[in-house]
Amino acid sequence: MSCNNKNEEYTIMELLQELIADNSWEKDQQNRTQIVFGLLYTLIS
Amino acid sequence: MKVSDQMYQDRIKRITKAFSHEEPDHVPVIMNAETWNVSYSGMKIEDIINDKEKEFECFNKPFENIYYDGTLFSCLSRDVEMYELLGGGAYFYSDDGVTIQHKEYVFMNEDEYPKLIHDPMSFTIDEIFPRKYSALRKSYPENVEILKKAKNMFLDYLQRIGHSAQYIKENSGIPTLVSGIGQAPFDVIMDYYRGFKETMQDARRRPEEIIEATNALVPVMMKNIKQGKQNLESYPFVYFPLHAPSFLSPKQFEKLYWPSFKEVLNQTAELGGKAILHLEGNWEHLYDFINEVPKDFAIALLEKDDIFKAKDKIGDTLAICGGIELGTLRASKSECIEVAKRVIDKCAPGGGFMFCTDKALLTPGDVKLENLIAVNEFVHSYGKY
Repeated sequence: MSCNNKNEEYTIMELLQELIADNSWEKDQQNRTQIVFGLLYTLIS
Repeated sequence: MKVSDQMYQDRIKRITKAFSHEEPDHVPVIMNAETWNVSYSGMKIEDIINDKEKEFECFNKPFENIYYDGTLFSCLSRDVEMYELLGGGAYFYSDDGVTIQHKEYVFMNEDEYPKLIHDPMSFTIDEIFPRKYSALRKSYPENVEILKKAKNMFLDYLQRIGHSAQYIKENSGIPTLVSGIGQAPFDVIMDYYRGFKETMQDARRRPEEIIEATNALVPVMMKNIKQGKQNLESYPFVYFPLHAPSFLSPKQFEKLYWPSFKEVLNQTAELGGKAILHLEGNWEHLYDFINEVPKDFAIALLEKDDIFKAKDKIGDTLAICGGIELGTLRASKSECIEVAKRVIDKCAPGGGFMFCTDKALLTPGDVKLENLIAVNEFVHSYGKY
């Protein structure tokens, strides 16, 4: 995701999608999705 | 094979045989402790939060002097720093730096059940999280940068869980029994969305919405239990801390708590998983439901239940884990041994029994150390089959 418009804001769901799309921290997308879900669940609790 | 490897394998065999209602060589002695390990090692939480090696040493140190066959946990259960980074959450360190504390907040209004029911994850992420975590209310890209840091801390925490279990395995031959966390949907609503008082009101005023919300949360619970896997291992276990039932009548439990929770348990069993059900408070009024759980699927970790009654009423379905109150472990040594002997005499025959304290050890004053050492030694030797 790129944010060209300074006034544009994103939902947290969109921020998480950005985290999943970023392959710089983990090459495997399934792993990225699973780890971000784990983070989400931890944040629920 | 190193000595600790052999001891590790022997202990797993001891635990899994007892779990399956077979008689192992000895009654397994299980550790239920968290921050107590830190103070036992002469430290405070602030001494270990940024030093993994010290944390691993703290959680391993008790095994040098106290007999155990396994432990529920091998490191701190929460990364409080991560919640603080996000500007919220419900966890914090006690003023004396000895324990991790929890404060209850109400993040969901009573008229928001339809949104939770419609899409639990979207509602939680986009409406609950901004209320709960002030850092997520910041502008882009500051908010996403904080989320990235939180993700890195979470990754670090996942590594700590694995490495700490490996550390006590290699250094003490002790297995860690818990590999994942499961929860009952009703508890999730009470603990993380509505709070205790509000949920109990909802139970009377909005029962149908609670039922729908608990059903909507089942897939979320299962996704967390599966951790991306197609099947689950039968060992180690999925740990279910269960909070509300002690406060529910059998009628309320049957209608509001049990259907969605039973579904979570059945799906976990179908995937091949086994569980530790931490029956917090007193569950003696709910044993008919517990007997609906598949046989040899779970350990019942007792808190306030009478262990003899539990062994008699649910002991054929589940393995029973318990035996001594922390309060007893602060009495005289002879009283402690007498209690432990009585428990072994009645609960050990036939297997399906593990010895443990009724509550987690958290602070240095929770038990008299010499009593704990004497009792665990006694249980291991007297509990020989």
